Amino acid sequence: MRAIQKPLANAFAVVMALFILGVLLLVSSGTNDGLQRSLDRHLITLREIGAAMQSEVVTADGLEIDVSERFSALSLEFGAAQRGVELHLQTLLPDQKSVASHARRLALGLFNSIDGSGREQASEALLRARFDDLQSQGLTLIGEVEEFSASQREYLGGRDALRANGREVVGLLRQRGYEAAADVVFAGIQQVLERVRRIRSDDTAPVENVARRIRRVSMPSERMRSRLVGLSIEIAALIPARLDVNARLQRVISSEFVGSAEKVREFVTNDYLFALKIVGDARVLLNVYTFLMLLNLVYFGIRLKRSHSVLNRSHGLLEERVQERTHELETAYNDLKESQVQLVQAEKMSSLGQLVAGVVHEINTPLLYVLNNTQMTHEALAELERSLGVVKDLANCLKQEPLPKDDVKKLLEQIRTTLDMDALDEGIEEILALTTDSTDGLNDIDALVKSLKDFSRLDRATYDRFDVRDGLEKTLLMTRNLLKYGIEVVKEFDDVPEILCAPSRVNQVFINLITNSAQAMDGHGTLTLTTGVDEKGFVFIGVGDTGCGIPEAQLDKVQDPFFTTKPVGEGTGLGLSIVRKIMDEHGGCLHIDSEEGAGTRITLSFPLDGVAQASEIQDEDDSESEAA
Amino acid sequence: MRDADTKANVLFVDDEPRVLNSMRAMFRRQYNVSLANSGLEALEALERETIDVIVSDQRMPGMTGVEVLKVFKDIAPNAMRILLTGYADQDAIAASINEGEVFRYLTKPCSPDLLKQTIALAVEAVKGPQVEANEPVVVVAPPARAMPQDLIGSADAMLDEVLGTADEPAPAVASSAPQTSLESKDVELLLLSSDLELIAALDKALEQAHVLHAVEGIDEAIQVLERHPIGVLITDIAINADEVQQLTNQLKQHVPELVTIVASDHSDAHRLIDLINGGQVFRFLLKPIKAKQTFIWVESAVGKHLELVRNPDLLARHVVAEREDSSLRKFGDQLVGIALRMVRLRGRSAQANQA
Repeated sequence: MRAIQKPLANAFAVVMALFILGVLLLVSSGTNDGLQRSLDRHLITLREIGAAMQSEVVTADGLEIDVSERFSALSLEFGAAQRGVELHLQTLLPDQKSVASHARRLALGLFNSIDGSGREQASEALLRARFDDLQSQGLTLIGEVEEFSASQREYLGGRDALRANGREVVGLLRQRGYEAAADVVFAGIQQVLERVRRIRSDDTAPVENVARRIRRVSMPSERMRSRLVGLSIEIAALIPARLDVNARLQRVISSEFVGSAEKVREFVTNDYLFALKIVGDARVLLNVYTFLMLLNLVYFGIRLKRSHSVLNRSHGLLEERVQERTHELETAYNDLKESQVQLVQAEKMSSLGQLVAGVVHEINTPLLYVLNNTQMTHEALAELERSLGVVKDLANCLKQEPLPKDDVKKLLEQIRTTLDMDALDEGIEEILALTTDSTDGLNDIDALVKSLKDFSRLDRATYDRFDVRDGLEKTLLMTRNLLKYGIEVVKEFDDVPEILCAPSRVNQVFINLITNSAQAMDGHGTLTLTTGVDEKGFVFIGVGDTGCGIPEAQLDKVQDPFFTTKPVGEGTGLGLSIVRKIMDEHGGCLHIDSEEGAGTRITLSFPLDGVAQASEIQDEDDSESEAA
Repeated sequence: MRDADTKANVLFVDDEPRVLNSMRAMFRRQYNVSLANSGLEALEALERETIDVIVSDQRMPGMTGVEVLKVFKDIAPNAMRILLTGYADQDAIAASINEGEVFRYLTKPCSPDLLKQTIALAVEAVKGPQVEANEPVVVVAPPARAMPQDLIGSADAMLDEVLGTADEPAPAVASSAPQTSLESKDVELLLLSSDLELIAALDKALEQAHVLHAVEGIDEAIQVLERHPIGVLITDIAINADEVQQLTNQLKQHVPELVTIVASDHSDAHRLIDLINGGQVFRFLLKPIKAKQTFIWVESAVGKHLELVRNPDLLARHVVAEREDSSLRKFGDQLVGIALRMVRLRGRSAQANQA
């Protein structure tokens, strides 16, 4: 379970780390100082234009001059500033559809939710609303200024018309001589012009009184009176116009645009500051995060290095172990090989030792009696010489001139009495018998030595044409001491062609098989040797015994190296395996028939020149025989 | 004892007729020579006549030489048994000691002189010195040496101590008082070995039947022999094979009553042959030893020892030739002392027997 969880946890940790890094990066990349500053400037401009409009209106009103010309310039400026703001605003409040902005907003939201303030999310909408608000306020202000301007123009027109009409009426009156009326009208009109600027909606009476007074001036001239009534009507009409101007002025002055602009600016500035703060926080966090990451990296680096060194060490250890093992294996293999070679050698030596011991025994026996006989012969001859001494004396006497008859007579008498002819005959017979035996014994020794030489074939070529019957005969001679005490040897030799082989190796096969058979029969039984040619043209040799046989279960094991039923130390278990190896070298085969308790018959078959087919073995064989 | 004039009957057994021919030619003048071509024929010959000496080959069809000799040992124990073989087979040698108890183990080819000498010795052991023999008798029975008086005294003192007759200080030679006969349990054993396993195994095998002295060196062994009535020496060949060979040889010459058993974890054919011919070793124990067999063998060795003490005529049957290279001559005096004790012991036993 842990094994599965650990990689998952690791992946999760990496993803989280990357996520946090992304959030921090997005948050910290958020502010644009240049934009922020120009937006601020635009907002100031807007505010100032607003303020200027208001003051222009007030000034224009005060000076009773037309504001429209000045206003149109300001209005243009205002529009430009507002467009600037709008543009900046669009840049500052990024497109909601962009993936980056979306991600950033999400990141900010996440960051803020962690940071503990929900302000930024609201601020965008709020900012947009504020700007919209400001815009409409701006439009309202402009509209109001325009209305004021129109209203003022109307009022100023009415006033100028009143002044001109008044002057005309006063002039006409003075012409006609109605000086008093002219003075009243003049004063009244002067009063109205003076007062109408300061008129308030709740205090229109003085001006109305002036209009009434002018209308009541008694005038005989109808024409003039109608002019006076016209004047009063004009005066009366001037009051609402002025009041309208007042109202419009009041509206313009009371416009909150400037304050709003200032507020928006403050808001933007605050927002900017807040954004800066967030970015700052994010940067600090990012730094902390980076530092932590670095620490982590260092930690992992150290761990990696440590585990690397551990790995290195264990790798080295492993290498060492592997080398150790390899060395051990090599040693074991070499030992095995060596001991196998030694065992094969031991098997050779053991069969060689048996062979030598047997031959030595065969030689020792004749040696014993030849030595004895030689000494006996020597003694018998000395005895004979002693016995025949008197005959010798007689012969000497007979040679003398003149013949010493007495001596001859005495010697003849001596011969007649002392010389035991039977003993003499017996002695001579014995000498003959002993020397005959000795000669036979020496011939036996000679034959043995010769056959030993033939058997080893040390002075012959390794490969030769070889009559297997010769080999069998020689082997029988060699193993005579194993066989002669109770084993009957039956030879059924058919004529066979000579085979090309390594005769010493084939002899080794024979000696191994015959030794095995002799041991299987435990000294008593019949050894049957057969030779012949089979249907394939192979030369076959049969070695049959009446020994203990091989149990069926062991039949397929007997050719294995080291398989032996003999007690430890008595057999190497290599006999048959060596036989099989030699048969393989000659391209021959080995067949075993056995019945437990009844005996074993081993059949070898050799191709006529099987060794030629297996000639590549020659080198190996040469070196082996040299080593041997 | 048979009439000394009668020629000794010597039987040769060999599967090679020419060997028999040769033997007959060699010995027919001195002895009545019988020939047997096999073990079976040898047994037939035994039925026909009394055999004094049998010389047998080891490897023959039918019975082996050791088997033939074993039968002779059981049926005609008086016949001296000699093995003559060309085959130094270790098992055969061990068997010739333990089963055949052979007098000599001769290897073919054996020089005619050695053969003659050996057969002469064997005949002498059966029939006493052959006056008419042409060949000079080489070896004479050892205890005929001159013995210093102080040695005789100390030997007597020790014997008294051992046999519990110290309260009768009368001179031993002239004593007519009834003597205590030597019993089997009085015979003490000497073990010469540094093999703790062997010591432990032997101690266990003996079942406290005898006092066992275990020593590690030959000097010590001689000292123990001087002080205790040792009848059987059991020696481990591993101590020092050469010295053991010399020791058994020296002891057999000076103290022929002492019976020797040799123990070894391997059998070296030539050493074993030397131990037979030069030390008349009674048994060969192959390590690790088997308790029961060891017990039986030690008991029969004790029996043999007592037999030799009581019947000194038998000593000639185990006579050996002195080795020329002996490095143990320095122990000559001690050995003489031990030998003397044996002679005294023999004298007392003889008296006891008469009584």
